[in-house]
Amino acid sequence: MTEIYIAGKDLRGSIRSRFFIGVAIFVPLLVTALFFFAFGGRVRETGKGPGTAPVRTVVVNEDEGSLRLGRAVVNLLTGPQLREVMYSTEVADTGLARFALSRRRADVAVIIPAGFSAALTDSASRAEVVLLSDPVKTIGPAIVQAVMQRLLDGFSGSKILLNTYRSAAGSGDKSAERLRRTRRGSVPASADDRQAIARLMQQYQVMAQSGAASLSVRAPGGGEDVSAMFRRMMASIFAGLMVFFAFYTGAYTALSLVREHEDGTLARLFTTPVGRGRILGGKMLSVVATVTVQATVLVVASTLLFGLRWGETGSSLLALAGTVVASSGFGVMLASFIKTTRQGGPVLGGGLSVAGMLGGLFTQAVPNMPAAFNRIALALPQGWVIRGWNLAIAGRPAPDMLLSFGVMLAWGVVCFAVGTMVFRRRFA
Amino acid sequence: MARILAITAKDLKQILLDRRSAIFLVLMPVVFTAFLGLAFRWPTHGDPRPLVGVSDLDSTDLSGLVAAQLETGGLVRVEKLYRGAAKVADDLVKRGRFDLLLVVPAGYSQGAAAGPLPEAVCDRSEPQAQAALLAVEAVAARLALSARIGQLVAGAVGAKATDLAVAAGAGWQEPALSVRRETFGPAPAKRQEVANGFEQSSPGILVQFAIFGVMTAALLLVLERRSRTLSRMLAAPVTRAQVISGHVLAMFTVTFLQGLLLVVLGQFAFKVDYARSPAGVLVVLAALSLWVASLGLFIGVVAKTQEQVSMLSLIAMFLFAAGGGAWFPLEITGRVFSFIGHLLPSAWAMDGFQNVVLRGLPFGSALAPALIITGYAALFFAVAVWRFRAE
Repeated sequence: MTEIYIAGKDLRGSIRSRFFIGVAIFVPLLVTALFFFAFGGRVRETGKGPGTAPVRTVVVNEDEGSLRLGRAVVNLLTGPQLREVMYSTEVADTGLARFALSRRRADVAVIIPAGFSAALTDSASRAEVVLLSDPVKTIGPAIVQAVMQRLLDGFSGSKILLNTYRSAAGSGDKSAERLRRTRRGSVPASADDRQAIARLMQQYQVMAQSGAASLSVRAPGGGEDVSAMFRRMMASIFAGLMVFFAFYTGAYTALSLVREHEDGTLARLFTTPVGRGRILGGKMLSVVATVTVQATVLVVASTLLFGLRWGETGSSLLALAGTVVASSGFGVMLASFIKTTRQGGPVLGGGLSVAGMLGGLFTQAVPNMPAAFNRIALALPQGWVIRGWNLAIAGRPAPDMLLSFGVMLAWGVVCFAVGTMVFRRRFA
Repeated sequence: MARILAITAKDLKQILLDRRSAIFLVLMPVVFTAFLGLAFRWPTHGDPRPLVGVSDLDSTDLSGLVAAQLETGGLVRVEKLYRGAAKVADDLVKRGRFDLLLVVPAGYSQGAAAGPLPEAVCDRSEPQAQAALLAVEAVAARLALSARIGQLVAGAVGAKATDLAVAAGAGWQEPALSVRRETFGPAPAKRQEVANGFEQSSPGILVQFAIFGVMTAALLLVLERRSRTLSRMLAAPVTRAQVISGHVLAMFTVTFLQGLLLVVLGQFAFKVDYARSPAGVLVVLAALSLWVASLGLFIGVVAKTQEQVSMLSLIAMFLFAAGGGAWFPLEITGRVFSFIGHLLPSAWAMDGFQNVVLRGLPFGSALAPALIITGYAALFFAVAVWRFRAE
């Protein structure tokens, strides 16, 4: 009962501390809110994922062909259809386009070359549209490239249609010379031919503009909509923050022993009829209680505020329990080696930050982490805790969590034992 | 001036003689820069392109073009799979065996224009899968066009549509129109073939830890106030302006030296080309240090305890680092966030450094960001001084 009383008193003190509320609760929620806001917040159900700003593009048309296809492309790019994706303006020449890029007024410049129209009319010609992009940007230029490729393929398809028709229509005369002339486009077209070609081109244009799908895409395992994928990503990021601050809270709460020792209140506590063992036990219990409250509040708050999902109930409870045990034990052990509160700053701030980084807490959003880093992470309790949360978030059932939970438990128990032993010796 | 320098020297001595400074100001930023740079670009000898598995259930000439055109496109690595792979597609992708698995269904050639579509199985939240999907979508669209062309021409000449579709498909080997992407900017003298991950992490960590380092200096101000040293100082023949200037100069010096150390380390250890425009880098660094010093003064004036200093410094670091693009490029964020982020001084600092390091622009490109950051420094300084006087 004494232990519970001591733990309760310390817990009340923590909850009333603005610093604790700020660092343990507010900061992780603030950072998650930043990420949430940054990557789309309430994801619009467009199937395209979180909205990003349109890519600022400048377009240069150097095409002189009679078909004025370059002008058609410019009109398409600067028109309203692509405004959601690209915000394009036309400039007079390449020099102005480069100037716009250097002044950061545009992220991508599209240069339509001089022989653009001719590439479609002359069978031997080819033309290459050049995209100049800001080296800092990666996504925007990739989007513009994909849009341009689709657009140009539509035009290239008309030439392929023409060549295919010519090859097929002239296939009665299979002489090598005719085939060569067909490919060069120098076989004179009869009136019927011209009519057939005109009809085919018209049909092709209708078909090309129909926008029919050519590929179906689905996620593995039954399909997750974009909103669910986004929340899964956010849950991983938040789990990393939560684990980091849980370890910080565990160590900071355990540091109260050092603070009380410095203030002299611990010595006064030890003069009471309550045994030192029970006092230390109460302090250890307060660490567990504080981390439990913090982790629970964070999980509940993130679910309510951001709609994050933590997987099956059994899995998330195991992950939560493992987090509490591992972070409390580690915190007690860390605090037991700290002699003064002045040392606490670098150890808690610096040491836990480095341990968190090596444990993979800050790189949850980094794709394809090297295998070496993943192995390093598993040498630390933080690595196992975040592994447990990642399994829970991925929807794995509780039995799949048992290994991770077991390791978290082992870390916590061993660290508790070491920390308690060191504290007992110190205050013997 | 001598009094200002005396206060500055006192602060610097306190900071530099404290072992904690070595940890927060030097060790942590170096370790974070190295870790994140390696995490983003671990040296590999393998092919970094996404891996696409293709399971062809149609086994015709047209369906065979799918894998062939993916291979010749060069954007992805292609592995042709046995027919049964289609049944375990989900598992193969979930296990990470493939970034994307493409199943070409039976009957694809017969009804390619309006029949069963090829199916791409991938996790779109993964960047490699997104890159693979772009390549696969382009090939699928081209072959769908080829199939339709085959149908149209077959209608006109009476030949077999699938044969014509294959002939049309071959036409994509050298399309009439293509796109080539180039990076704008002067060719870097020592740029590596593969993008250096440290070019992203080094400026970002520099900005982040410059802001975090403010804690060390702000703590001094709080400790001075709590121990009544500040009151005694003000009772001495030294003006408030001199006291404030001394503290700000100390904070500026610490931040500038820390930034300089990280720039030198980035240049020589991590091959980040800061030397492309040393004057540009120094101007941005000086402006950043000035802003951070005024931020530190503000925190030191507002906070009452050491714990408040820690918390406010942490919040400032998160807000300005994340919001300003030090953690992730603002280009990938939502429109509103991107707009707000670009209002922050940290975003301008990132711009200044990236203009030199990544864009290879000359000294002039660093001036505008530096001036804007200096404006923010003046604003924070004015608010801090007003608050200091009020107290």
